[in-house]
Amino acid sequence: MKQLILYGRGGQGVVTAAKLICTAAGVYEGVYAQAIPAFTAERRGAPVYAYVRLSDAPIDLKSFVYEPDAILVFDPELPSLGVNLLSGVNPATMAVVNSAHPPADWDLHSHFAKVGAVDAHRLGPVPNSAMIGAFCATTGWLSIDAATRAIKDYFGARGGDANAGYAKQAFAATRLA
Amino acid sequence: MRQVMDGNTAVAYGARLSRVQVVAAYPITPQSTIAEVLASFCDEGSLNARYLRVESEHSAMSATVGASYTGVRAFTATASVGLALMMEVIGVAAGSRLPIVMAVANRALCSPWSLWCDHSDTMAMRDQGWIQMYAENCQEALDFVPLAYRIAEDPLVQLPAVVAIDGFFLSHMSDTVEIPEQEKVDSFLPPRGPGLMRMDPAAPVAANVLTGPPFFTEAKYPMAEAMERVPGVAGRAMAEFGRVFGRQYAQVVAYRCEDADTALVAMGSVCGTVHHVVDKLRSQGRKVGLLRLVMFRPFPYDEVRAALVRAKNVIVLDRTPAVGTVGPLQAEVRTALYGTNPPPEVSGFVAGIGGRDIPEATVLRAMEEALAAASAIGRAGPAFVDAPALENWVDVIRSAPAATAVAPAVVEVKSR
Repeated sequence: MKQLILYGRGGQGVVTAAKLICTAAGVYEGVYAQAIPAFTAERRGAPVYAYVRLSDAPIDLKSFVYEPDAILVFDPELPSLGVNLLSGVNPATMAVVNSAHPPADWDLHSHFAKVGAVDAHRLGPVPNSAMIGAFCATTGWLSIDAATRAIKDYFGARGGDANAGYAKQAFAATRLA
Repeated sequence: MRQVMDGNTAVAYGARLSRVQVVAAYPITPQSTIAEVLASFCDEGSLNARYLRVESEHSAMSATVGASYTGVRAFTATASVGLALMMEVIGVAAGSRLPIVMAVANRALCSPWSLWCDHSDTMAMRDQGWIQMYAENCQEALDFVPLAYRIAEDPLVQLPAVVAIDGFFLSHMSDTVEIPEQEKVDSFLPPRGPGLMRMDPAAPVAANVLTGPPFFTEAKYPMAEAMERVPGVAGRAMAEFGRVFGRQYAQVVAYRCEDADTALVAMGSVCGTVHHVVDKLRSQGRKVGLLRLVMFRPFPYDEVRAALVRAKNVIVLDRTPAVGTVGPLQAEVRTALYGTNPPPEVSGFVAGIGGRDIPEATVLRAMEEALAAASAIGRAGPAFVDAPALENWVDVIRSAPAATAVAPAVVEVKSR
């Protein structure tokens, strides 16, 4: 089982990204998938979290994720708001960061087994589709094909192709370290 | 068809597949998207129902009662203080013997004000004559709606039913769900038959009128009798559900309880986590089990007793802040075990209230506290358990024993 924590801000499509990863894996890759948003009194810009589990076996756990196998960081400035991105990470944990800079420049880089960086703000008005593409590129746990199919389903005629395109571009543009 | 959806959407699909004819709901977190998805279904024409916009939950239940009185299949959904505002009409629905189904996305009752999960809302209505079913995952959130209608509308029952899903942990959790085919649901759940009471302008009657002492008991006693018939009806309905859809449900699910020294009793989404913990501890050679209550009303006393009587320790997890009493689930379990010889040691904990997560650590902590108490301090009165070792996530309260008489009910139990 792979467990993910998505860290972002209200308005960045974090909860939608969790659902889309879950749908891509659950519908198009035939594995078991679960997405749990951690709801607080959200407002635009405030920290938002979501959790995803992907597994070959049915997922019994219904609690939040505390020990992630990968984290998705929609905004690398979140630690300045008191968000601890290192909570529960282990030496094998991977990270996907929304950043224009090379992954090795990220100050938390050394805590992760692998870091993928993508400038998601340049790929779409909301960074979530690009972050999903970068997640596929960094971890290899989800195919970009399954991801784009789920994205097209979700956005439909209103941006399905555009968002699938952002994910594909991010998949190709993700820099790994 | 396999889809990924959250628990609220699953409930809405369950209502659509049940071909509900009237929906009256008022938005309240975390239930709102049930009403929103059903409104979309009505708008796009995929559900041929009258969607009534109402000004409060009191009106929502009143409209649902009125609709059900005309013989149609009526549905509503609410949570927390919305359910509290409905409470006057909750009793009317049951007393009028109307087979309404209501989804509740469980949320704490205030105060303090909370948007988040616990069972205090449905526990507040637990003795009002409604059947109660608690789902563990999104598939059950969907499946339990047609199942609840089938049980509620049975001529032997004619009582309303609640399908309870944990707020956020199920209502907003996305999971893979198999959407049943409409024809299969139609064969499982035919159109609603004639009820006990039907409003018809051509043949006016007065219902739910002022009823004096000579007749009040005569109205209530048949309700109690009907509730006693629910286990048999539900057992048959669940067996047929399994035949039609390939998913076998039961009123009580005993998981690895047969030879368990320690059994944990719980309801709702946390059972998934407990199930996981049981597997983990079993792999370490510890004899533990999970007893999951799917139906809380009527309470399956006989099956709970049969499943737990061989255990040395029984641990009950109430997701309800019990104040001035033990948790309602613990009280029922103690009642079921009263008179067994030798009786299992029963420990009760309150956990996961007001939306607090129940991670594996809390379940393990409850087990350890219970076993330590059984050997060291016995069954002395209520005690708070501080949980500094569990960081900020855990708040476990050990509470005191209580037991009274037993009312029997017959159920068929199937292992998980």
